[in-house]
Amino acid sequence: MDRLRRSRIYLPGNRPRMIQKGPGLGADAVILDLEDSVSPEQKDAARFLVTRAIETVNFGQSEVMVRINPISNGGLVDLSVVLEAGPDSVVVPKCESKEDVLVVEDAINKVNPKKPVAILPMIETARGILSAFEIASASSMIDAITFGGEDFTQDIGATRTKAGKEIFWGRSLVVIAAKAAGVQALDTVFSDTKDEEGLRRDTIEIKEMGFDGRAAIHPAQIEVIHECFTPTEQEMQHAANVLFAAELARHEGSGVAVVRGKMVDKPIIERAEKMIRFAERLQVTVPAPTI
Amino acid sequence: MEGSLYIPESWVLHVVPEQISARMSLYLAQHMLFDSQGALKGNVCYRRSWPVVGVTVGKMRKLTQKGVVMTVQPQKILREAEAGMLDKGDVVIQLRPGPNGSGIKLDIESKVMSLFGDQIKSSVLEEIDHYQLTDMQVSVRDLGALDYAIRARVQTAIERAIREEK
Amino acid sequence: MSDNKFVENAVGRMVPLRIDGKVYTPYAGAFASPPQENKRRVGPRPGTILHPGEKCLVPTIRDAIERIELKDGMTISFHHHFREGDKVLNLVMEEIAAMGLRNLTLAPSSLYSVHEPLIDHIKNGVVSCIEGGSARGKVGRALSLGLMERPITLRSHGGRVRAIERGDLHIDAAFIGAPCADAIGNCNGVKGPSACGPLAYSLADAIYSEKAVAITDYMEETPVIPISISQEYVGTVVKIDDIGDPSLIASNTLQITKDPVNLNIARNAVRVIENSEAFHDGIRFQTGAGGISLAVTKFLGERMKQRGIRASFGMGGTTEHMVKLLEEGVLDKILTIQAFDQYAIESLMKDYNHIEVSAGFYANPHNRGTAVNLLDVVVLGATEVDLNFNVNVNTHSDGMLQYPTGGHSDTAAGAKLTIITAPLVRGRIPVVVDDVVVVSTPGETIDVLVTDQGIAVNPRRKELIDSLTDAGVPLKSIEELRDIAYSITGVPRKPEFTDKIVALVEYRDGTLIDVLREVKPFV
Repeated sequence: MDRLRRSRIYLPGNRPRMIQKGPGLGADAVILDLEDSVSPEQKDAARFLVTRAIETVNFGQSEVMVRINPISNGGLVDLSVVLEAGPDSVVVPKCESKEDVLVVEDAINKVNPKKPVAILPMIETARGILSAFEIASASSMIDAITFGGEDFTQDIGATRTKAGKEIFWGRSLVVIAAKAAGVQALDTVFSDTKDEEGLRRDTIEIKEMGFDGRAAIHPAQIEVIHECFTPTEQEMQHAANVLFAAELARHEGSGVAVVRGKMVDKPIIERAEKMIRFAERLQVTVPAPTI
Repeated sequence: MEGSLYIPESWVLHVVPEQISARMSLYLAQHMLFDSQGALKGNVCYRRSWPVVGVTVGKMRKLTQKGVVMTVQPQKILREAEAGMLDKGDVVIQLRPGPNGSGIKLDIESKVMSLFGDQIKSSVLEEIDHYQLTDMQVSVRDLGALDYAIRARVQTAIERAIREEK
Repeated sequence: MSDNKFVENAVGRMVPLRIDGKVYTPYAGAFASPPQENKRRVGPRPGTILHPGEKCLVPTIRDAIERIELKDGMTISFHHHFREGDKVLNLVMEEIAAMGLRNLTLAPSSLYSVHEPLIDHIKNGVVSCIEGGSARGKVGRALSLGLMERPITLRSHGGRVRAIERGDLHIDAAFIGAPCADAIGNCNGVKGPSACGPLAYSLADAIYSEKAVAITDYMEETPVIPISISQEYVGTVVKIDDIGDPSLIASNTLQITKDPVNLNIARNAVRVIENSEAFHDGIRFQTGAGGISLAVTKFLGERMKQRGIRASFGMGGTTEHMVKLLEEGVLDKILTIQAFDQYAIESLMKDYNHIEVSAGFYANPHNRGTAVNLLDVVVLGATEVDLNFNVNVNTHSDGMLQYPTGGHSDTAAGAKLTIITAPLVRGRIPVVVDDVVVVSTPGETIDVLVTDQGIAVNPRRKELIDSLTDAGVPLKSIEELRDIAYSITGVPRKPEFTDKIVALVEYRDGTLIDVLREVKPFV
């Protein structure tokens, strides 16, 4: 079953104090970052610190991800050092083709770590978006693809706004490509740390678009993101009713499940099952059916 | 060939007489077998977690018979180097090559000196020992860094002090 | 100095039976040593009587010291309501030193880093003994490094008042920094440029000292209203330019922690409270003024609002956050012993349901009714906690005396539910340890430890363990927390001490719960 990746938070890879805060944040995943948050002169220091942190620090339930540098700019050196430590997944920035993924897959196979490592390609450029499906289906090690909204906006020469029109198509394509390839779709950050309402609105919107999670730029955002990705009472009630109706139909041999006068067919029943299972994973109480 | 280690005759392997650790071998291999870009040198196929683990004196003799020259030779660092930042939870490690025969001179300052001074000292010395280095001054200014961070910073400083010029 | 015989007390610490000829009783349990029936409170002599027409206002501090006939070897006291903004203690000591007085015993309710000049007075023999209260910062450090021949006695707020009333701590002259005073000696702390809120720590001093001097920078016509300390006790008044630095006395709003780890700890503390017997309509609680405590106050207030529960009173260490709860009707009343910000001071002055209570009312265990006994919940901090839930609040893990006991052991003993909140490690320092440096508050009065890595309940509280487990609150044993702490930091070496005792930790009932020795510098 796929890991929960509702929230993920970046920890600057060269700052021991920030890494130490990781376990207490309650995020579904922490990303030990070797890329943007580390200055060029300190890439080596970050590599060693992150490697040892992965080996030593107990991040509890959080998935341990490492964001390496782009393959064209030090990513391979990062992999050669960090994979030994056994991260859960590798986030690969600026992927634009399946080759970018295969290079990483190859490096992982060479090292052959004891624990399976997932590959999480980041799609942050126009070319990347246009090759999204190719990237998402490039390797069986891929668990999810992520959309990097800030870099993407810059790449296409657009202006980043809260309404998000400039990234809508990019986001949508990432979701479609991901689901077509059978992997998760993860979204970018919401950069205004003071606007909780805005974060909530944006997160619900991307959840409705089909994303499975998003990145947090500040720890305070994590709880809000989790709330948005938790099924609401209403949604769960409906799902419980759908499943009950399906059971009834099976019992009566009628083959047609009906909820409030409307027929529910297989895709709806499957979605309802998925939601209930998701709710159970989050340890949220599933309501009893009301029909 | 996956899993085998072919060492060209002209190379000099620096080892210690006792069995060496996987990490030690890793560091050896890093310098003997990889260039500064991280690509393998020559026609060597190498698995990081595997090579030269547990090279005993006996095994050394066999390798010597195959034409490999072995010496026991602690290295000296090539230059001054520093790693880490004066931040809470971090540590600044400064290395300076000393005169031949001066050994390792360690100077530690720490916020948690009375509680962890001993452990800091042994961790720093252990990391240096992995590289078989000597004749250097090591200054440690610690602001409550955890053990793994201290070791990472020492390793970084050493790497910066011994890396080949491009 | 200590006359050699040491016994093990009820928390397993070795304490001396005599020091400098004075006899001590070892700690025997939190409620095991009530006052002996035959011991009376010890009152002062009548002091300076004022006949009609006589004045007690003098122009300078020196005049006041001469008027009260202060002599070598006497005991003088000060309050710490001005915190780091205090000027009174330093000014008075400067004058005393200049006048050539020697060998005084200083009995402050607490000392701050601003009182660093004391170190020189001690070196010069002006002060030869300190009866606490407590000592923080630079002064505490100096004491830990063996500055004084005689050990400081550390006491809680309640313990200090007990000692004063019983004559264990006999004060010759109390110097009371009074933000607002009148010419005959009535004082309060709510008016004037150096307003600090209550004058709770001074009341016992004023009543029981042989002489009391009010030092003020703001006067009003007699009588000032309100009267926190009455003219009946104050025999001399001095007006000077500045008794304190307002910016350091009362900060602008203290900030709730933004650290997500600390916020989580606060949330979990509220979760524990919610699922205990303490959480009922009419709850009475106290929280501190640290970052985590403020968050607890806020979250507790939110939960109470959500569940339609109101608190009958809040006590503190009062801040804006507590006052807001009063204003919103979540709290009915506030009892204040110390005000930390401007908002709290103003509320004390204006709000009928916000009152000042003295340190004795608050916490003296040997009076006929003490406020801490009314508490349902108190949330406190700690520097270290051991496997028996004994808490150290006085020293750093390296053995340096740094922090006051304050109301810690008092509230812990009185409250029905005592919660300690702390991160499991602070940087590289584990908070849960095998042995604490000193026992400030005994484990028998501590019920729950809430950290970011888990919650541990004192095994004595079986019903609490059951109700929390039933409510789905995950619990760990204190040993597990220690293991997690050590796995992160490594196992620390114990700090080393010489044989010299630098502090006596006196429990609130006057028994000796622990001693602190001089720190050996690490080589």
